[in-house]
Amino acid sequence: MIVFNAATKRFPNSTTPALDSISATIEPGKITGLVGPDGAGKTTALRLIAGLLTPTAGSITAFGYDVVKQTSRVREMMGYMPQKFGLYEDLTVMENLSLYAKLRNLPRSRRKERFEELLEFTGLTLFTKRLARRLSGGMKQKLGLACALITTPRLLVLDEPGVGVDPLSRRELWRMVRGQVTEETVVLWSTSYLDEAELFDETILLNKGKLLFAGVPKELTKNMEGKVVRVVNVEPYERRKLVATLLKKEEIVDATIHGSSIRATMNRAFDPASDSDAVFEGRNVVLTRPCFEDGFIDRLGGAPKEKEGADREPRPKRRSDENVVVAEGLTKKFGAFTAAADVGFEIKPGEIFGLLGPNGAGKSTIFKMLCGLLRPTSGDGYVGGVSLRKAPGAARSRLGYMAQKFSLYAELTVKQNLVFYAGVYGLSGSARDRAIERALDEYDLRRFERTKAGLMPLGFKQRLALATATIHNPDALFLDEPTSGVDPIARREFWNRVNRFAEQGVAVLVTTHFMDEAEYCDRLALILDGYKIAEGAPDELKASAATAATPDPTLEDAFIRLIKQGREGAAK
Amino acid sequence: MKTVERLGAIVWKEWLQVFRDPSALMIAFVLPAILLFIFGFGLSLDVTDVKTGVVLEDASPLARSFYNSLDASKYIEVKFYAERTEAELAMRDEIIRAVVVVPNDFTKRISQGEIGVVQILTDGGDTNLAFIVENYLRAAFMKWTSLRLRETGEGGLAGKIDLETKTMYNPAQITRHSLIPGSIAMILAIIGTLLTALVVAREWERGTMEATLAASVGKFEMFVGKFIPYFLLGLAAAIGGLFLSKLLFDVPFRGSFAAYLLSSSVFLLVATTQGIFISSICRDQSVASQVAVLSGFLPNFILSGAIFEIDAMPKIIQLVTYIFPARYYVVCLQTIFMAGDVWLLLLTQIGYMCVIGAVVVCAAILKTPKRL
Repeated sequence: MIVFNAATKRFPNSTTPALDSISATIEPGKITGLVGPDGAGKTTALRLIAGLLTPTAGSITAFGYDVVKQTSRVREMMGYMPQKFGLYEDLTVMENLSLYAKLRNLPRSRRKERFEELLEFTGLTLFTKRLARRLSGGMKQKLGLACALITTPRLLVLDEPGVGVDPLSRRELWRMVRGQVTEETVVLWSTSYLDEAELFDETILLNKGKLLFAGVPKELTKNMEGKVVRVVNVEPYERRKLVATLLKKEEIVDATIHGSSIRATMNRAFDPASDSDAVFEGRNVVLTRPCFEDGFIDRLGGAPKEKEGADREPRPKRRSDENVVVAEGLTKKFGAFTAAADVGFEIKPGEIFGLLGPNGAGKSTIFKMLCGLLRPTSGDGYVGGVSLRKAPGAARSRLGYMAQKFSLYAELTVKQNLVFYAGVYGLSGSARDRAIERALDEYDLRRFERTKAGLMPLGFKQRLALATATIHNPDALFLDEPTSGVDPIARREFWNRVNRFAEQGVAVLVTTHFMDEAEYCDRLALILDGYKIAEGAPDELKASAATAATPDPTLEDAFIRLIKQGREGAAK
Repeated sequence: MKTVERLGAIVWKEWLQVFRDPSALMIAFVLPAILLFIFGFGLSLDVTDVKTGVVLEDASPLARSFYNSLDASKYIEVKFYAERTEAELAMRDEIIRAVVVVPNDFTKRISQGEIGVVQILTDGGDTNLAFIVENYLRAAFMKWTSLRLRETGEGGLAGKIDLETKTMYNPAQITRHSLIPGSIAMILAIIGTLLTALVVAREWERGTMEATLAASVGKFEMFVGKFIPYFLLGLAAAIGGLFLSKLLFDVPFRGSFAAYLLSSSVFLLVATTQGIFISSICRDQSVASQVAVLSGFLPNFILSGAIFEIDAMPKIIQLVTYIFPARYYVVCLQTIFMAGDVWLLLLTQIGYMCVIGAVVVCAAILKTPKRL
């Protein structure tokens, strides 16, 4: 049992605490999930338990031992897998196991047996002589787990084991960890995927260092029962408009696109008799099961409401139906390694196209080729009809690019960043001034005008990054993992803005490793190991995976099914 | 017992990593070899044909024979001047770099049993060159007096001339012979400080430090485990460097292997601890490498006296050189290579290094945080 007793951790040079007076009890015999967006304090909490950090105030005990005063006692009974798995890449699978066995003083006599057990259990028996660097993400994750399990720990701590791993491997890992749980063991698993939260026996939900919820995940969704509905079969051209309309209504707390339907949360129970007409304009509305994220949003006070007049002067709509972005057989090789293989797709004006895949699948490589930042080994890309191979400069001026880390100048003020990017995109004189004024209003950045960009909260940095990427009114908008690190509220607000661009006819290309976020896209390409393994609307992809056992599969189910099919195909 | 096993595991892992990681191999083996070759073949501070003015106020056969011996040297190109003032003007205009004056009472004083004085004037505008020229002229003068002694039995000419310069042990004036020992100090700094700082910083970056610390490994075990392999690697490089410099460049080695090993070990102790100290402050490979180069490699290059004469540096810089162990190690090396085991000198220098070492070790222990 682990007990957090008003534990607080403050880092020097930081105004807000990373963990703010957390009290919670983690029971043995269960898998407990530590859930929250990046920056919520998950890793800090796990490091406090491992005695790698010390709390600024409060205390933590593990099985009765104080983690500060009796650190070595705690560590002896703990298996710890940090982010990136903590493997030595230059050592083989067996050497890694052997190293951790020695570091943990596993008696020599028991080693052989334990290694065989763990290798068998992780399916790595055939790969004992392979260097860890040559393992796939999923295999590394399993080896990391095996190293953490070497002494059969009573306390197993896993820091974001699902990041950088395909969904099938994630499920396998889940099964393996489940197999380790006895009445004695405490398992703590951190994740930023909110859709994973419902799987845990117990969940601790953190946001910005604060505890929002602790308990059985069903508890959080329970009082959302009856409030969540789905507006089904909405035509593609109507979806975004409907979301915007719904969000303006008083009764609606949250509304998001889910494939061809719209998911909406009300501030009271849905009443089919009156609400269908009054709130949902006579559309086909059905009650649906609330999910963990609904509860999270509710705890945070609902989705952001659109400000009236935020978009006073709409940009002229693009009318042409020509594809704005075209990828043709894009291939990139780095030596013997193929990062992207023969990837092709088209994006129409006003369409949001998603590249979905785990970290390291090749999404960013495809992205960089389409931005003209990386020259393809073969194939070509076109933006607004201009070839990236022949005229990368001209093609680039037609698109707005928002990079993963936002690429803002932290030392420049908000205004200076806007001026700089306006200049980079070739705006000058009164056109530049108008564009900057407009961005300051539209993105609600006036009050930060003279603030250094680096000092703003993350959500505002994200806003500014979008403002700089779109200051020249581009035909295509490229967003690389735009929402990593922000909470679901900021994520919704961000998507509302992206939706507005799509409404105006901008073609949007977005990469993500969040399965639930992929539902917001009109069409998707699933990327794995550099290959596009499927393409289609989210509903089509889901329908293709429907079986008798799972009539209503999630996108993740569909992805897993496609990976399995691909592997079986390869095996034959 | 547990600690010993864990230490063994870390050392063993470290060896595997060094030999499998191309970048570590580059730093451990290729870079030192390249450095040695550059210093051996490429870089030479020998200056040939230095234009030197000679003024013979005394035209006796004795003075003439000195003039002839200067003229025969390939390092010096002699220009003859009738008047001292004329020669001084030529030096001012940088036509010549030094002036040798044989005063008019030169022969007379020697024949009267007094000390004959030959004056050497050098151009202080370029201290380094002046230093080199002065040494050339001194050496040429010595050679001449010893030749005279052998040929004619006339002795005592150089009796009172102060020749207590380092070049005394490097009579052929081949700078390579003093550069090679200097380059060994640099190689050891690369392996001890740079490589160690890099591999420890890498553990922070890749999250393996976190995993191993959580696996009950203490900081002490971690760092001693890191220290041992890179210390041994540095020692191997020291031996390899000695072997190569004997084999390829025929550098004299007049001291003993034991003295060489002892002084190298003490120097490596400081260098490796410095690397660990750096990596416990900067946990980022690029920052760690910059700090290692600035605090380890460059001082060894510039301030150790291996390449630039410490005596020719401004006073304040001379004071700075005292805090770098390389200064003492280079003296040890040059003594062992050129002179032999002068134990009193060697032990003094090693003693200084030990003092610096103690400070660095204390700093490393103090600065090593107990946790992340």
